[in-house]
Amino acid sequence: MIKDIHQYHFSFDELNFNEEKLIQLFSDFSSANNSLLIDSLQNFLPFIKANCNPVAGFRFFDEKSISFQKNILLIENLHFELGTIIYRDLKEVSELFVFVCTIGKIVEDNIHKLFSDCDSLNAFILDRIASELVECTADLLEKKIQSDFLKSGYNLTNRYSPGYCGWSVSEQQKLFSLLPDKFCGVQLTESSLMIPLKSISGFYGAGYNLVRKDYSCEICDDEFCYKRKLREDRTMKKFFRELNDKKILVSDGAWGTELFKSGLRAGECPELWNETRPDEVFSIAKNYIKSGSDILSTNSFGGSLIKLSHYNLENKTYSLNKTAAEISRKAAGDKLVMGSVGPTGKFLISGDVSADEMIDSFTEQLKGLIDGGVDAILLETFYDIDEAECAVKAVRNFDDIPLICSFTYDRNSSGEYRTMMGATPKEVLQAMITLGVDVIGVNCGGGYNNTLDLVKELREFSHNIPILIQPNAGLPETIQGEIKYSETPDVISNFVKSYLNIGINIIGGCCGTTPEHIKVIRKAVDEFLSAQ
Amino acid sequence: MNSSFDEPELLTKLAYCIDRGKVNSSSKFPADLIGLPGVEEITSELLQKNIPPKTILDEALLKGMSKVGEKFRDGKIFIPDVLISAKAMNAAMDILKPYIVKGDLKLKGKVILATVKGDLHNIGKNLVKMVLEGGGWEVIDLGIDVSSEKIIDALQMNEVKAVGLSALLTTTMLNMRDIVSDIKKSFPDLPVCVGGAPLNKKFADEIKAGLYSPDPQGFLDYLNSNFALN
Repeated sequence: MIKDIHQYHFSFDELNFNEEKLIQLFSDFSSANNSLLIDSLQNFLPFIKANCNPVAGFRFFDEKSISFQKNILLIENLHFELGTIIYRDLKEVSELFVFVCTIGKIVEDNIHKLFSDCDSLNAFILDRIASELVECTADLLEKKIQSDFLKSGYNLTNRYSPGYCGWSVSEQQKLFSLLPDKFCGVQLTESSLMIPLKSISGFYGAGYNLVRKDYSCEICDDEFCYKRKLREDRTMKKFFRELNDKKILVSDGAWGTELFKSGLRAGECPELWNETRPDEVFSIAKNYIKSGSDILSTNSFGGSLIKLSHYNLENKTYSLNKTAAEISRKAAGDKLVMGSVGPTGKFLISGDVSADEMIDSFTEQLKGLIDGGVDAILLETFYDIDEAECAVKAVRNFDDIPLICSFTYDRNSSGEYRTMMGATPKEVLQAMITLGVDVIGVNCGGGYNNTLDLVKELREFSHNIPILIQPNAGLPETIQGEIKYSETPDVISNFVKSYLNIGINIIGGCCGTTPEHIKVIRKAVDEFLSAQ
Repeated sequence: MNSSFDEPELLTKLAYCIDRGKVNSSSKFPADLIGLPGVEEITSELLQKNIPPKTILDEALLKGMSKVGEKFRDGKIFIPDVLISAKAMNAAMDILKPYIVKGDLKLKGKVILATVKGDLHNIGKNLVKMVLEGGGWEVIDLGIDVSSEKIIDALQMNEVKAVGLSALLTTTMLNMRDIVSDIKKSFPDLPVCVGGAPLNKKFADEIKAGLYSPDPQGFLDYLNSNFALN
């Protein structure tokens, strides 16, 4: 009996394989055939559930039992020739997990049967699902190792398997010699093929304070490798995928207006509610999702360190923003979340604040939002190109997070649009394109009607850049002591259609807009898309 | 002739149904062709109007499949869509089968396909099979983990134009060397085509294989230009 060996039987449900994953898995299917895919999965699901037997296990090797030489890993007198790619990543590790996982043989026997019955299409679909299920099993094992076996402060490397990343498949023989015979029910043939075929074997390294790198696909010449595809899928952020697939996303309406309705008093810090009144904040978010939002913002508009310091809450910058993101994330379910970031309220031009201070102020806020799980950052209601530049620079401190930058404009008496600092839409657009923002936007301002010409103007300057618009519900008027916005849900319906015809990509509302406005927008967008 | 019957139009329609993978009027995909006649209805209608099976094969089915093959080669569509088209192609070939059995309709020739000894992967080989069949070739599929002996037996029993060998692993692709050399001993002039993820042209040349193709279409083009009867 060898020490430090662990084996697990998982259930199909634990693998977390769902319809969304399936569609993603078949992203090379033309969408006209999506119904076929769903049908096929539904046919297969009972069979897979009953016959997929995920088993995974590993043997642990501590610091004393492994060592490295150039491109070579030594375990129990065995030389593993890892090649430069894997060596580069593994050489720093102090511990090693040698693992095997499989989903058993029944599913793949059925694949063979389908092929011999000339049902190649279903065989192919089942084969791809089976491959993904083994990957899910390996992911599950990885989580298990992380939660139950990693010492605190230790992290895992990528998983590496013989046959990938420049490591010869024939090294399977040595790898299997470290494990008990038929470990997890997996056997190796002479040609180093695992039986069942739907199995994965390999190493994870672990090390103290180790930073997990991505697979080094850029220095590998195997262009057909599935790990490369995984990496590309991962780098293709959900935000962009949704924007591509759905063409037009519906965002949400006002947060401030809704917070006041829930009892926020003037002078109170809205972001503090994330901590003190999380249920109210959650219900605002949830109402927008119920009204049809595809992408939700967060209660963090004034969450920069500089803004929060007005309430002496600068020490809470990270936690209030993280909670803001978590609340929206929870309400959003599988919908998207964009972390809202507003201006600091200070002016660079007058020397109130330095560019570096501004960048630091945004960075602290962004850290919280990103750790809280946002899919994108929304810089909104900006008016100063220089301040926006600081915010964009702060965003660049984080690994490729999709970035939307939205400005607010007023219309002067001669009908021209300018920001408060005098920048024209064209100047803003040019600056933002140069800074490399992913989506430009217009928000707040004079309302849906008032903003129409501005968006036309922007679309003429750039035909390609995605545009977000979130106007106010008109200008607020005080009627009998109550604040009313002139553009009610009924009023905006036609304007929304005009925006869709101009070619905008994300549409929602700003001050004064409500879940009712979002319902109207949702309906108009659905009608527009189905007419195409 | 019935004035409502337009032969060229119907052949074009049939080719389009192959291209899109539309089997029959009750198939639920592609979504934009729901309810319209598919390969089965159109093929039967053409036969009913006494259009020769060879015309149907050449002017519609093969044209449709060759479009599919080209789109696949050019990266415009991917494996799933090829399979959907192949399914439609199979449906048409089932209807034409009696004519092939009787000898009224001749295919282009026979090809042997096999995944080599030690290797159990069959998807790549099956894809090649579908593309070749879709191109009018008859495929003798010897399956997976196939030895030289089994291939040579099959060669002795059939008049075959070429052999295609597939391997997915760097370990099993080495077995191709022996198999190619065994085949050459008995059939020195028979072209052997090799393919599979770890292969390249250099390796194919080293083991003296006649052709390496990174995609099924390359093998089909080779067969068509060297051996097709018509």
